[in-house]
Amino acid sequence: MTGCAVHSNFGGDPGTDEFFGRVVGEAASLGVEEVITIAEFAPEQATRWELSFDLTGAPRVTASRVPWADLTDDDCPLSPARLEDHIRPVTPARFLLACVRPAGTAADAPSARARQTTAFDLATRLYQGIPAYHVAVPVGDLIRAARKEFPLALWYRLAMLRACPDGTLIMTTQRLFPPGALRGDQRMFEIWVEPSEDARTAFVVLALDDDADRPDYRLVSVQSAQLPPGPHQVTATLVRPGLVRFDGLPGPLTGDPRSWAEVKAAVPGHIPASHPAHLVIAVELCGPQLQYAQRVDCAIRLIQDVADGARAPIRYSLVGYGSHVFPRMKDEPPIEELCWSDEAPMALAALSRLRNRQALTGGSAHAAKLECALHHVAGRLATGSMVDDRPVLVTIGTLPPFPCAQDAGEALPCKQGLDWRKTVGAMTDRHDGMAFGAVYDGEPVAEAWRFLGSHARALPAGFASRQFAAALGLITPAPPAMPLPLTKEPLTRDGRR
Amino acid sequence: MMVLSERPVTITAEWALWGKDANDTDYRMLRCSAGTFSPQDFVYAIDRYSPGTLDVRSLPQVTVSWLKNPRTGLPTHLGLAIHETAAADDPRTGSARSRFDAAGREIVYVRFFCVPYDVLADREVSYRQLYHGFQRRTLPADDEPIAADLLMVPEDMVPSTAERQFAVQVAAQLLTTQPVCILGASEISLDRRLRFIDLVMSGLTYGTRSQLSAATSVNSNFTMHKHRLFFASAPRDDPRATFSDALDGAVTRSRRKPDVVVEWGRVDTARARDTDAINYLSWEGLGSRWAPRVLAQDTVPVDLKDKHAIREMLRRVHLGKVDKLTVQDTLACLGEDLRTGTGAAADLSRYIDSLLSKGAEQLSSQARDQCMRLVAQYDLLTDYPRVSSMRDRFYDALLQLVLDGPLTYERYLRLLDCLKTPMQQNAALLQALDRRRAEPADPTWLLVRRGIGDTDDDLINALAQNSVPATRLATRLVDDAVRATGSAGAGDFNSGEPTLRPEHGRLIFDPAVQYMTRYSNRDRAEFIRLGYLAPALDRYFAGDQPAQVKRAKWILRNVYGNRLSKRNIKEVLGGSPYPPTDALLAAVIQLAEAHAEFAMTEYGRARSANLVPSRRKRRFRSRLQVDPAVSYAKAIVLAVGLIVIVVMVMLVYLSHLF
Amino acid sequence: MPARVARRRRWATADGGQHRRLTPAQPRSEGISMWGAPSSGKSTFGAALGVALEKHPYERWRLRGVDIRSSDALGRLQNALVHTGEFPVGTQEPADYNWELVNPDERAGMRGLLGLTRRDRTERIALHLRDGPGRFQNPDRWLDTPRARELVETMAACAGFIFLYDPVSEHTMGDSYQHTSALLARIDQRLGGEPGGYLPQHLAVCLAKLDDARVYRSALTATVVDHNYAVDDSPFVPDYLAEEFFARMCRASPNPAAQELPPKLNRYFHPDRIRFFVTSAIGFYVNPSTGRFDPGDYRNVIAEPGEKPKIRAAIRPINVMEPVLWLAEHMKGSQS
Repeated sequence: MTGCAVHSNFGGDPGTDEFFGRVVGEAASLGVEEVITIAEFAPEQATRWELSFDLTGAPRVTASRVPWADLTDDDCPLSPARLEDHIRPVTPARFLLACVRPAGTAADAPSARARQTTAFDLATRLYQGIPAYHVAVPVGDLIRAARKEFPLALWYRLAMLRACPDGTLIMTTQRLFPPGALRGDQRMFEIWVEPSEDARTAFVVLALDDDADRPDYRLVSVQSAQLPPGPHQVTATLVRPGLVRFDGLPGPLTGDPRSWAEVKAAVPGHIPASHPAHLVIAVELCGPQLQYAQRVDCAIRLIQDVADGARAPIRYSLVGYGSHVFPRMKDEPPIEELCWSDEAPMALAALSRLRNRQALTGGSAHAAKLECALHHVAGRLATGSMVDDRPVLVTIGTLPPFPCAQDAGEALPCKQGLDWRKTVGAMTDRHDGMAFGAVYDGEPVAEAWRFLGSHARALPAGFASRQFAAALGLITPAPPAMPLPLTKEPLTRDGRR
Repeated sequence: MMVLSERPVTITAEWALWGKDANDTDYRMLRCSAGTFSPQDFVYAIDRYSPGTLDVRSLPQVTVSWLKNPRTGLPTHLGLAIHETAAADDPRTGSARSRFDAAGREIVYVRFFCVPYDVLADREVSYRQLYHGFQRRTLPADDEPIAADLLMVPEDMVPSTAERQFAVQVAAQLLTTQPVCILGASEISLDRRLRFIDLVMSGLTYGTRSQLSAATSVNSNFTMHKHRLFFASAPRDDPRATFSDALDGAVTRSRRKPDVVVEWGRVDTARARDTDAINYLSWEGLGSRWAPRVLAQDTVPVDLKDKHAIREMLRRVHLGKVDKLTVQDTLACLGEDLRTGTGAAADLSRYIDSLLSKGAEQLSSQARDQCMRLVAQYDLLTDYPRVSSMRDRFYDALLQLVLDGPLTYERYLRLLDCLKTPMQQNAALLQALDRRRAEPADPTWLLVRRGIGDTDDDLINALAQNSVPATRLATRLVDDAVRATGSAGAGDFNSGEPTLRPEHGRLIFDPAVQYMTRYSNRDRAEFIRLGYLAPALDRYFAGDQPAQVKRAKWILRNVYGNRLSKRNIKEVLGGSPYPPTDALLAAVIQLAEAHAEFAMTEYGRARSANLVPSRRKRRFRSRLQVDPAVSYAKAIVLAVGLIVIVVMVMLVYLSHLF
Repeated sequence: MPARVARRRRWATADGGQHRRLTPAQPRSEGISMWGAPSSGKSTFGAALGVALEKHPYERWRLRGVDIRSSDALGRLQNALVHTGEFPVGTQEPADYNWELVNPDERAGMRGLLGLTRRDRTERIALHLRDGPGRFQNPDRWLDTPRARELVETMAACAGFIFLYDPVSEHTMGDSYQHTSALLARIDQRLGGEPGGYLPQHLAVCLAKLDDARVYRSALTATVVDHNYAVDDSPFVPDYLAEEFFARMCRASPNPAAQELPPKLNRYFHPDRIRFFVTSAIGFYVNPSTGRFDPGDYRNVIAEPGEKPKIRAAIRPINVMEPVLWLAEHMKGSQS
């Protein structure tokens, strides 16, 4: 942009100021591919400066220095060919010549001065019409000073995330500085930082190239800071093209070695949503006392972890079942409903009472009346659910269910003729999103257990209850890394745990 | 009838285990020991003497059988089979046995133990002992024979008289060579059934066990079983069976004789009609306590299927007399009979006769000690009314055993230890002791006679008649008293003899002293020597001062008359080798009141004589207390001096002469 | 199918002259002996016999013990089977039962026409059942022992045999042929050359354990199953299909020698004296509430690991009575 106000600290030397102004003006109108070449003639060497802007609008400066001694030829102290080679411009239209007035008196280094003058004259003769200046300050300093005056060529934006109502996270940007913004321009805005395992929040400044067919974001800088979760007021200051400073943060911003791709990849797809659920646990009550105790312990651990880690309200139900008793004159204990749709403390109390009991004995050792338990659960779920809870059925046992009719196996059929397949199918049809988890250790694995463990399966020994609950969607695992700040607080959060 | 004595023994048996594994459907030999018998031999024995399929709830049951030595073909071994189920964690085979077979049926195991007959016969081992000894033993994991300690098995209940009588009848039935089936014992425990089998067999010689097969339970429907004496719930031959050619014709086909069926506890069902049985029942030893012991000594094998062998056995049985028993066994039987109130009078008489004849022989001291113990244990020296008719012989027999010689005080004391009631209450015993003719000089004789009822005069007369020296008894009394208090005696009696007990000394003191007084002519020296019998009084009438004084006075009067002078007093109190006693002093004072003080002084002097010697005596004693070497020197010097003096006198005399 | 007394007459007429010449000699006793592999169900068969007779809707036969031990045993076996639901313990030694089948004449002693007292027409058929342990037929180990020799003796003296063929144990052990051929050879040798070369006894071949799921399914596959619709829909195999099914089951044995069993039996026994039955001592489970057979739940044995098998509900013996009655009637018929 020509004609913009420039600041100059160069002592009011008109040549320098003019040169400075020229550089700034050239830079403002510099195209994408164009390069400003400045040939600097200093007493010691000839320096060729190239000034361009990268894709993000940040200035790039390179210098190539050659001492006068290297520009000599066999017969003459200054080879025009070599000089021309050295100072040839990339873009002829953007070529400047500058001769740096040496500091000190003319008496110092007369031969160097002589060469400098000779070379400058030669250059002006070679490149007629190219602006030539006499400057009092080295060109490098001038370029550095001018760089700060360069206005932004592209939109500078901050990468952020926006949370949709359903918890999905969408990548978005916060506008920082428009093209033409100058050094010192500021922008204030709010961010929201989500709690995450990796508490570093990255501030990714992107340059947006609107001119292209598709908007193209180019990475300007990546910095990150350890920020506490919650809202933050941030002030962004354009230090210079390519460098934005963020103030108002509780912690210092430091460089982040990650690439933009890595940061993008670390962004989770959604904020884990939390829906209310109804956790129904069916526990097998027969078998050796040790296995029985192990099962009850698994149930206790599961409920404890769910109660601790769930974001949404969970209701708990507990059903205990034994085995059919076939010999005559023997009583068969019925299906026990220890609690239904209760709070976690009630369920845990029922489980601790269960823990103190003896395992049921006397029933068949080939199977357990799991099919009757499933039938009971299905019936209760069908009639009792007023709340739109998602049922989650966890079955903890060892023995397979009794078959509904006589088969090749050792187990006699269920006395009521119940078919577990039908029951499970009916439950799946009736309740959308119903999840099935199974904790079992029977060998070989019965088909029923495969169905009942569709979403999560585990062995009672070394039962990883948190992973199990997470697989069933009851709790989220540890909050994922949220590398970028959010535009605002997600809507789906409930206040209560 | 008593079962064989249950003495602890250790025997080694070969063994076999019969049953099934969890994968078997059929019974087989699981494992066995390696020894005389091969697995096939065991299989044969177990199968041959199987009791049939037993009700699992009635197990364990026991069968007893016999085996032939495979090399010689002679019946040399007895077998005991325990039929049992496996408890779930039964460690008795070294590894847990399976409870069910491949078809899910409960397995009945047989643990079979095979023992040489000679070993058992030698120690008169009963079936019950055998069962209890092996029942708790774990079968070894290898094929080594197994050893077991057959301990004395305690009796919960002694067989009643009715049970014994029934056992006698059953034993008689066995002599018919027909198998004997006992019905109606389903409520009787296994242990009692085994004991009954032992009871029956103890009525026959031990040798009948060598080829006996018996069972505590048999399945009646298994009609082909080979047991000779067995318990069952129903008879296997039905007399009402009208099918002439029925399967029960297996009786004729297998040449098995029909069973003799008796009902438990009902003797009338076991009445014998067979001549041999009746012959047996006429034996005098039947029902007696000594019979089993005598019979147990006869170990000649007898086959109960062989009439000839049975008759031979009966012949030997009839020769069985009490005499065959050892003395100790006879005493034991006698004692048991008297204690329990059983046993016929004839038996008691036989015991006594046997004891009398045996007692005349030499018995070792060990045997005699055992006899003493038995006598004490059964309190045989008590006055039993049952032996009242033969009491003299009874006691004579016992005393002959207990006393290995004439009655001495020591033996008398030992006898007292055997008695639970005081000797004095048993007149017959005392009479018997009297008959043992102790030496009259021995105080024991006096005690016995005193116990019988002799008065002092009787005793004195008897002593006189036997020319017992006058002071003999008195000296004995004093010596024993002195020995008892620890100081040396003056008599010549053996210090190994026990001293007279005070109660005994008290009894014979008076006659002894009176005898001495009468027949020693009141020899004062003797009385002095014996300390006027004051030590004896002090010991035998200890604590009874008046009695001592009275007697002391009597003695002094007899020696000195009614008055005592000072010289007498001095003699009495200080003249004897024994220090005077308080009673003596009292007697002296009572007899010489005027000299009471003198008496007391003399008493004090006499009593302290040994403690504080008198001046004269002191000087004399001190003078005598010289070094022997010095005294010898002195004597020599004195002698030399004397000689010199004599020589000088002679020289002077001679000089005067010339 | 229930046995009919009338059949005896049919058999008698079917004898004809042709068979009479070759009628085998008469056995000496009247007993019936059972043989079969170990755990083939011989004792259970005997125990179920009384119950089978009682359950019969119109035949009035009853089983009783002649002597005390036999009636005790009968009572015990039946009580265990019916009341406690337990199977008999594995037989270790042969048990001889003196039983009797009685068909009481209810009108005996009543006054009939002309005032004459009606004669007692109670039928009694002696049943001397010998239940021997399976092992005695094992020729490798047992047939030479004295006990087995006695068994052969007694069997040779019997008039009738019940051969229990257990397809379930045959499937695992595969030794039926071996047992049977050795035993028959011994008996034949003992009886030594009867007219016609046949053994004089009657033989009822009973394929046992129809209630076992595998046997039942095989019967279904072979389409030999009929149902007793009149009573409780329980399946059974009719007598006329029994021989075919027996042959089929022999062919299904893992031991190919078992296929030779039917022809061997036919060679030892006269065609008129051999009859096939498909039996089940305990029968199928019938739900007490419905009273009808349920093809989805028919197993009548509860087999739990580590425990003895128990009978689930009341036993409903199938074809247990029929072979015994057939034998009893024909044995008497051939002797008279």
